[in-house]
Amino acid sequence: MKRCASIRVRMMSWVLAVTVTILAAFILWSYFSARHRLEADMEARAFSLADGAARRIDAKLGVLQGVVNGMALTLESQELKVPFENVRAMQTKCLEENDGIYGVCVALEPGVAPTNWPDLAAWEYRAGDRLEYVDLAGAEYAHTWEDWYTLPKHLDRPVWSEPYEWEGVLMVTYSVPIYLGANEERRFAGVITCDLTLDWLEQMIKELPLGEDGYGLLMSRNGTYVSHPMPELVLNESVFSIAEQRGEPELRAVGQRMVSGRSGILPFVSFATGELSWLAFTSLESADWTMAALISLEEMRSEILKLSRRQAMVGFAGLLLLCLAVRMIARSITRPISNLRDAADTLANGNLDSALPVPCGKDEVASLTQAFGNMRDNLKRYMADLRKTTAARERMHSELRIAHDIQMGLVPKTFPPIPVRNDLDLFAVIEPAREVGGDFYDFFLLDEKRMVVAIGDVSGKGVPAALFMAVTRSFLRSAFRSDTDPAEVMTHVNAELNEGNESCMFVTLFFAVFDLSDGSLQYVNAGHNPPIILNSDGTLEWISSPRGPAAGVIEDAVYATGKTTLPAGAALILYTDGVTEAMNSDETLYGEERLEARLSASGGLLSCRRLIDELLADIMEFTAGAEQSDDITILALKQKCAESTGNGDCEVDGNLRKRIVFDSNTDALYKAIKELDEFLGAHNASSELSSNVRLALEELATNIIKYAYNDNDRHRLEVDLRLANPATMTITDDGRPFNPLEDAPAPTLEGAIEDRPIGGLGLHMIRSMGMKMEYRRENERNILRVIIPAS
Amino acid sequence: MLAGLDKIAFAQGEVAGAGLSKVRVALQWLPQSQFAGYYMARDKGFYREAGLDVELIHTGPGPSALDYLAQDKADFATLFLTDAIAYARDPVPLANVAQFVRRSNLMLVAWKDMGIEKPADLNGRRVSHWQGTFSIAFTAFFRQHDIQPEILPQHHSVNLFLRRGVTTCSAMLYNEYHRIYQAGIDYDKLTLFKMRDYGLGFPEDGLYTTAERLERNPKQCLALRRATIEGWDYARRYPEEVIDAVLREAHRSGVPANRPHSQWMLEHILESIFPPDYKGEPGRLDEETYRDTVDSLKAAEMIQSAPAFEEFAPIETLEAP
Amino acid sequence: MEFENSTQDGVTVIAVGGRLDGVGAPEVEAHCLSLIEEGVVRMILNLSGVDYISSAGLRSLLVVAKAIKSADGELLLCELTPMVRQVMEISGFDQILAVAPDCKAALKMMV
Repeated sequence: MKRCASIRVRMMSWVLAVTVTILAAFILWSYFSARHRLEADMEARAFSLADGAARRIDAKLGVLQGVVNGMALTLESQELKVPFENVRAMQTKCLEENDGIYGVCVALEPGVAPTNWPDLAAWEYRAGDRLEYVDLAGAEYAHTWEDWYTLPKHLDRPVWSEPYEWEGVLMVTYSVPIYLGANEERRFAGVITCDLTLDWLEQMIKELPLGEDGYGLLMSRNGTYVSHPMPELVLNESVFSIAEQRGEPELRAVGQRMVSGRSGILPFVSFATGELSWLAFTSLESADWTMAALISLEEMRSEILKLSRRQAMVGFAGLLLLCLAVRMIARSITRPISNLRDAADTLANGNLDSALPVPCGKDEVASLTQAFGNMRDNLKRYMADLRKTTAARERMHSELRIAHDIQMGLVPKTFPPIPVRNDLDLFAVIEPAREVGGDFYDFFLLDEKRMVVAIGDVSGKGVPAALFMAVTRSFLRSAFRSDTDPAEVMTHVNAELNEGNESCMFVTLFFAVFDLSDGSLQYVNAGHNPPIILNSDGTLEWISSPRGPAAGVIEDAVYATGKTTLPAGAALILYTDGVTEAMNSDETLYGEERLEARLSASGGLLSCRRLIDELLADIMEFTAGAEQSDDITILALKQKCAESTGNGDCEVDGNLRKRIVFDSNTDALYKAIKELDEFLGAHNASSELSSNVRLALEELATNIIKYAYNDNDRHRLEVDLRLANPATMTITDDGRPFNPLEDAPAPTLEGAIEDRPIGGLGLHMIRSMGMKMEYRRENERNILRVIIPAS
Repeated sequence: MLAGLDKIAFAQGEVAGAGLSKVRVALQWLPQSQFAGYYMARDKGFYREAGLDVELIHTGPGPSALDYLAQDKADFATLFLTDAIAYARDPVPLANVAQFVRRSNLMLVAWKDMGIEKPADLNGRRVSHWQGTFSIAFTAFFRQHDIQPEILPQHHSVNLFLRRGVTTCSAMLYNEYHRIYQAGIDYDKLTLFKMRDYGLGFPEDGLYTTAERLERNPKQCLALRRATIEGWDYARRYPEEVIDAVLREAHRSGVPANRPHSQWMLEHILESIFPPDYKGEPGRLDEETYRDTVDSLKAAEMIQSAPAFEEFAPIETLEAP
Repeated sequence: MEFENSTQDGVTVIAVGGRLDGVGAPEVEAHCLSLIEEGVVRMILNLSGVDYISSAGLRSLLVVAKAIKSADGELLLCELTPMVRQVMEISGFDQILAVAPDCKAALKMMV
């Protein structure tokens, strides 16, 4: 049986296995016990049959014996003085009255018979329906030689003869001796006999109740069969002749026991049937014969087998019924379970409304079904809730997306903002914390040379913040249409925002008007983080004043306009508190110090986009995956290559220009040279020009680094290359006054190698290459201008 | 030889079909293995080959074979040698045709448990034995041992002995002795006195005819003798077939018979006809044996005189080489 | 800087690649001086891979030339690029340092 067969199969298998075992055991037990009992019964029955048969035969023979004895007594008592007719009458009467008797004989010893008796051996016998008479003492026959005569005579007692044939009739004869005289005079006078045919005996035995499975047999004193179901044995064979023929000494021993006059019973294989039988035997009381009964054991065993087979069949039928019953019970148990399973499958497929099977009764399956129903109901409720929640969240989500769209739609995202103004570098980003924040930035041109940049942070988040921001922006833009003073504009915006601001929202706001022509900056700050000016040399300044309250809080707040100048190459950096308050997982703030450090480290030479990218990257690195809590908005603006103090490479008035500031040491010098190389390479300068620029810078700056300073302070050199025709390069340092054109020693070009100093050679080379140099000292600075012809 | 026989038979007016001489042989008892040689000679055609159509007549408790011969109800009869000598001249002059059983089978059987262990124990006890010439040996036996048992005549059966009406009874080794065994009496319960062990063994079955017939038709007698010898020889060679024939014969006549007994009888008869110590011709009657028997009979006063051997068995002079 | 040394007829030919400026010159100087220290006194500098030379480069070449001279050796420059040739001419170094048009000629000159 499979280990995990279905309940029904398991139940049926086990019940059937156990039942079959019990049934088989019962049938076996029943068979053997019945067999044992029946065999014992059979033994008793065989014995009682033999005994009963013997007694019945005894009774019949006794009657006949009585008749003969009576006749003998009659004749003896009258000393044979009886008329012969009377003897004959007695004989006839005897035969007429006793069907069993075949013949009656009065045989006398010669010389004893009364003289008036004509016949010495008067024998009357049956011949069919008639009675015949014959005198046996004929001339050719001596009756006195016969066993029936000699045996009683010499044994001195009545005797049953061995079976014998007489004139074709098989018979036995009972002979009673009669005597004359008494005491010493007593002498044998003859015998009175009666004959019985073996047929009659056979008939008598056949009438015995021996049953179908048994038969009786009668055996003479010599072991010869007097009656046997196999007629050919009668007279011819004795139990001993058969034993001899078969070579069975055991059978001979059996025979000896049987004819010994004792009773007994033993198992025996029948001659007649060849079956194992009980052989019971006992001797007759009347004759010294043996009556034996054989009861077949095999027939009995086959009966028991038949019985057992019937039992087995009944058992099998019962088993079938049991099978059906178990099947029904198992089905009644498993059907609701499989129904439930089907229902569960349907449920698992999401069909929560499918009906559960209706259990009947209050059994375990019913309670399981009920529990299952509860589960389903809870599940339904839960799913309904979930659907509601999800819908709500989706609604919110879409709101937030709308807000995000508003937020992103409001901020300009075209960089560079003014394509024609190549000298203007502006970049801005918003990194919303969640979908929508309240941050915004904006920039737009007021006129040809003035640009407005703004940044703001609306309190709160989501759609309201976005809308408030949109409103703020539109107020801002519309206010700038009528006025250009930042404080005025802010006042105006504040007033507008306060109007009807029932939700008490507010916005921190900073905006500035930047004059592209002179780098002047006019600004106003309404509660916003102080912006930063990052100079091209990496230093920075915080624009922390003047400062007013956040817009939308106080209706009549007063704002003041601050003024400063954004130097060429310096960047104005606007940001929201999302930057400084960016938090890592330890809840440490990014902070203004870190912002400052970061910005100075990146130096003032980066473009706005790179500056912002690096800053964002640093913030990301700092927060290291912690969730962003607030919007991060940064806007950077710088004017490239302003006329007076140009910085960076850009085109000013149609000329390419590169300005590099570097520390006064050799490493920084060669870095600067490399930067210039790249600039020259990028603008397809000729290799001659590049060589000349490089040669001039290397030789001149080396001189400055070597000779211009006496102290150990940090000094910076500035190189400003303009790719005009001719190209000019201005090198500025803050060292001690040094005019290389005059102060440098003239080179020695003659003389042996070993005598030559290495010094003024650089200036000589520069000049020899066709470059011209101009020196001036301004504002404590040495300014050396090199004019490099193109070819 | 056949032609000669035919002529004789024809002259006799006893010619049967196919030119065979019809002869009747009276056997001295009911069908049993004692006569197996005759059955074989008849059934196997030896008689016919000898030109004889033999009718075998079984006798029984009634008229004896000698009676048959004397009354001309038979042409030949089987007789014990002693009987033949005793009745050699009366009622009819007899002539020996053949002597088959050369060895005595006669014996006395006694119950050991009735105290009979040796001849002397028989003194005064009831003993039954056959009468007539049988009694010669027994009487000699009793005289030999100087005992006087109470003698009862014994007739057809040993039932009186079996029922212990007598301590001892006469028996033939080949017949009654085994009958007793077949009545469930084991051999070791019995004491045997075999007459031949006491010098009282006379030859038994022989074939006889009237002196007149032998003289008239010696060739027929010779033919019968030879064919019968052939029959016995056949019986010796094919005992199983012979027993079947004997049982058939017995059942046909309604005589009780069984195979083991028939076998026993055949074996012992054959031993008596062809004794291992006998080197002579089967069927032959020795003069010496004849004289010894005659002397014994005379000594037992059963006879006063006896014919001369040549007169009793003239056939031996014919048969002599 | 890149150097590739080879020896032909007992002359070490050093192919130099890079700029002979304030950065590259000290490297060339150090490379050649170490060779000289190892006993290489007959040296040809193949400058075909040098497209720029400053006074620092000139100075280094001067140092090497001095060191070889003091070791009774011989130094030859060959295959100068135009800029280097111009600088050599301007500075008059072509008068003090032996310059061959190409390396084969330089080898011949050495032998």
